[in-house]
Amino acid sequence: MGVKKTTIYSLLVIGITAISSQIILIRELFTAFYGNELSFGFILALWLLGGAVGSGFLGSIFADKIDRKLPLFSAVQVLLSILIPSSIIFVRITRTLFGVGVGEIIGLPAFLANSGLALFPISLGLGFLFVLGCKIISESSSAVGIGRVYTLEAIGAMIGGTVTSLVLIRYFGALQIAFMLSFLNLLSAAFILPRQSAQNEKYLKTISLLLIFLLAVFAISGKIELMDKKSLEFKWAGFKVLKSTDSIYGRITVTEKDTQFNFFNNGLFLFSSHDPLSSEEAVHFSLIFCPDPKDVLLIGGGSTQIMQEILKYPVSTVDYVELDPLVISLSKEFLKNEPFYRLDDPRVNIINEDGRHFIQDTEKSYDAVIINLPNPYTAQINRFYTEEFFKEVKKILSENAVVSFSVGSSENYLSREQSLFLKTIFETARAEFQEVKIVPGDTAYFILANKKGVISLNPEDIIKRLEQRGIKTIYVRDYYLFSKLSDERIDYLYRAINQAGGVRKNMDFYPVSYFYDMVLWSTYFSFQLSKFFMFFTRKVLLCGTFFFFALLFIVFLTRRRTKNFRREATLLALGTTGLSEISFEILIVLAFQIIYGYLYYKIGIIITSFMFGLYLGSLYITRKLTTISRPYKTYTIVQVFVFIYPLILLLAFKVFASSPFGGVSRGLGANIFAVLPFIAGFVGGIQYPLANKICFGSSGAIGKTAGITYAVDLLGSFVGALLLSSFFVPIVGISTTCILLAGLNLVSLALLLAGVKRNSASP
Amino acid sequence: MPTHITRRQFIKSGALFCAALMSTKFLNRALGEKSFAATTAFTKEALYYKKIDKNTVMCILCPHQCILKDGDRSFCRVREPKEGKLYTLVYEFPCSIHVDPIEKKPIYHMLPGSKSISIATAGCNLRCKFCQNWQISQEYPENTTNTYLSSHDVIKLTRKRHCRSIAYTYSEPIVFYEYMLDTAKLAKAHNVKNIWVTAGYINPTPLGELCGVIDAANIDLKGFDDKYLQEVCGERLKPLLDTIKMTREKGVWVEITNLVVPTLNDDPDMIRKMCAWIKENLGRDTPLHFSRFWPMYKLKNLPPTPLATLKNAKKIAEDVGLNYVYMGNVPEVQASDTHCPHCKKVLIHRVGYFVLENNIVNSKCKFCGHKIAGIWA
Ligand code: SF4
Ligand SMILES: [Zn+2]
Repeated sequence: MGVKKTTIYSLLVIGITAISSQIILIRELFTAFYGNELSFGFILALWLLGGAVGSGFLGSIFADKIDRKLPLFSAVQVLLSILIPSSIIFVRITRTLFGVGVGEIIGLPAFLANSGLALFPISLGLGFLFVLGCKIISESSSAVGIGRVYTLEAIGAMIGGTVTSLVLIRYFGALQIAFMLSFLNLLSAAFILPRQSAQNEKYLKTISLLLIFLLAVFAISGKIELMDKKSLEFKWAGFKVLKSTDSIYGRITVTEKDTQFNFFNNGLFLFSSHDPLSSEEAVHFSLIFCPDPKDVLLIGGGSTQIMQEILKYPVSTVDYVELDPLVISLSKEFLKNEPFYRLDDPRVNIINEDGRHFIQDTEKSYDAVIINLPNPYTAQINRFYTEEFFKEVKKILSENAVVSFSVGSSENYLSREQSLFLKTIFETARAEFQEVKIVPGDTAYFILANKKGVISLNPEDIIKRLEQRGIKTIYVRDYYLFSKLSDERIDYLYRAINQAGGVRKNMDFYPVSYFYDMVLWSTYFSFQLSKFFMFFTRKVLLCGTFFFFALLFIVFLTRRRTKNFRREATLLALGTTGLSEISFEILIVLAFQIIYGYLYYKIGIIITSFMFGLYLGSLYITRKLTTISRPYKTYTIVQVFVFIYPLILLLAFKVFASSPFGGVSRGLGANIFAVLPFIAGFVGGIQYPLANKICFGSSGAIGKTAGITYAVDLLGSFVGALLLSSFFVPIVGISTTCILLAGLNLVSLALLLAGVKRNSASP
Repeated sequence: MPTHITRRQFIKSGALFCAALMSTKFLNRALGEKSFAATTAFTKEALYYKKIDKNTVMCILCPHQCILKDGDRSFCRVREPKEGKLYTLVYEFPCSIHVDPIEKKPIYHMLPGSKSISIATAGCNLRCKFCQNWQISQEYPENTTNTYLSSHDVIKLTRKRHCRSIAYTYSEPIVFYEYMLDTAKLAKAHNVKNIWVTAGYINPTPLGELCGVIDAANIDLKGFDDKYLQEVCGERLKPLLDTIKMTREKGVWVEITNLVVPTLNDDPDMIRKMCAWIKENLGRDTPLHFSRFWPMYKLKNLPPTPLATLKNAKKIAEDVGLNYVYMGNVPEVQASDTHCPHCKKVLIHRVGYFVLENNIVNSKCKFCGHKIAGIWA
């Protein structure tokens, strides 16, 4: 058991590097290519695929054959230490290099190519190192070693994930964090080498130490910051980058051009310092119908001219809820001298909180609620367009209150995709509010009220009210309204919506609007792609999945009598568990946000709790591994849990979302909730080392075994990452997704059982 | 007859199911391409094309000069040959019909304050990354919701909605050339004005015929740089400039729109060159509209044009010597008024789509009698 301390350190570093570089690179890619959840799925999937190829392909080919593993390990780490910062820079400059302008959405193939180039080499290297580590740590050639590496990696990931996402990202730029990772890797590369080593190994050590020295010089002389700045400027070519800072929620960038300030969140355009049109429309279409707006709730957008427009009414307070405090502090820093700046007005009350969470908690009642958020381009934002949300909003409204929000639309023509998208939201709102009107245009404003006859889209009516109140506007007035709100344009909008066909209501656990937003997003690339998405209705997806399950089952069953059946069944179950584990994680985080609001720290806890489960699970079983005589049987029993787990999840979601936990004892509920991912992690943690024992028993080479099992695990995760949040959740809903996951694991379980029955001679 | 399905059979039928799923017919349906028969079917033969062989044609309507075999769809998505004849698939099938103020086109020097019937079909021969109407311009006509509206119906509608003109607009009217031409001819006979709102990417011969019936054109000069036009819009500068010049020479009232996109085409030197070209080739009385870019379509994450940039562009154009320079859609700075080039007084005071004051009498400045270019009655 003489595992050297340096080796343990190196393996921890691999874990830390894996998660931390993933976090910063994904954010970087997001910011550069304007991601939504679908692209997030793609990115994560590419990352996992790299890991799978690195461990499965490279690992199984080289790990067992190469004698001098330590130098190889060290060399790959040196490579990684160069690759990680380079990738960050690569992502920042590649657009400009290829002549893609700032703010331009690029095609899907180009996006995948760029992401692949940035991520693949790194995750490939990390996957390979994992296998190599297994080989190094268990020169004794036992499955225990793989389990131990898995455990070490899990601890590393736990540490790296928490520290990077909660601490580092707030105080350091991505490039600086990348260099920190380089530093850790170089240290490991230098010290993992044995003291008495061959000539060329000494070179390796010298190179590592030299690079560390270089890094130190860079850091001290401020070169890293300069590089950070230069690469950002390159990325925003033509704009002056005033600031680009990360908060735990995302990266806020402020640019300037010709005295206009522009704010971005993860590269997505948020607002500019000159936009009277949107601000007036966001406010007056609703507030003008509010007889006496005293208390106004504003969710998002308060740094813009919106605030000034609200304060044109005799309000007593405006509660402005903004999730990210960084948006506020940067607005205060850069917009202070703008004529519309109102954040310091005594009537304005800024609250940094998740809007949904605030609405659930507040005791106050409001005369108007103005929601100014982006389209539901993630399941997270979709929470502000659902039936449950509208129900919650209704509870905090005074008698004559109005509510408004907006989504992207199209002025002159509404495609079927666009109409369906509007319709899901319209129908959802209409089920909760007595009156729902939509203002047509390139942005569609939804105005809701709890009484009929309150809102009128008649331009004369609006103009008269503005005059009566003495409110001066530039855009929301006669000069535009007669054209914008002509009967014919309003008729056209409603006709398009009515003819769009049947839709479901947008629900928290069934984010339909999010799906249609994704369809709309895909039309940027090609309308063919959008048709492809639209093809996958609930029915098609369910039939397809069932057919796939059946096929999987039958194909594997045909091999029942072959020698390696147990091994194959084990690997299949490992793959489906990999898929399920990442799905559980995504589902739990999603459900948590839906029920308790987007609480970053708690979500951090969820992920950590998952990792902790994984760690304890693998630790526990690794300890016991030598004493387990029939791993296949134990494995099958564990698989029963994996099969039941999504059903427990489904039940838990239902219980927590219902009033007793959702209402009174929410704090308690949220804490109990954090136990769910622990269980999932624990079960997953147990399965992996067991699978290795089973497979190792029938194969022989540890590198090959570790490579293959790790690859299968990651491949499963790859498929899960790709399909879950972008396909299954929006198309069939969270509940059905849980059931389908149970179904998938049932297939694996059945096959495992077939192996148990057939022969009990082998392990 | 087998009493139970063997595994092999099951797999076979499964594979067949997959094959069916993948078969072209099904896939096409899934992808929506040519899903329903084109609404217009193949009824209206295109006006400008050449036969190359039995089933190949070359469209000569625009500089793309698509060479198409039977069943191929054109680059602009609305033309297709069948049995060696080229057809337009959108004839009399617009997908967008609205009533707009003429100021929205924008046309400022013709019938100010009047309304215009605006029609468009699917399709476009350009690929501008900032297209406002990409939901029709980049879509196939089979997938848009179209309404049958004959040329006669358009005239009737114009009367009914008290419009004085018809605007061919939103997407690129060149791609529905035959529909535009026939409607415009009819409109001319009925004393209704025709407005062509275009990017101007058309060949000279069809342009010549069109100019005979069009009263006013707003032509996009999206930039004065071939590289920009190629990369961001998919067109070339030379043919565009030829179009603009020829349209003007044929006696059509021409106004130019330049969409100023931050960092992409806001270079002051380029704007100056463009203005000089306009002055030299079209005359200083040609109205030039600078319009504000708005985050749209593929450029959704590029911020809107700063006011200062627009103001600067306007100043450059005025310095070069253009008489009527406007900034579209920024009412917060009064930049849509027409001033008399001679006495500098305000002739037309516009806010948004409203004309609040009109001091042009008999096409002349009310104050000093200077003749004001345009179509005023
Ligand atoms: S009009 Fe259409 S078919 Fe004709 S050349 Fe141009 S793009 Fe091709
Ligand atoms: Zn005069």
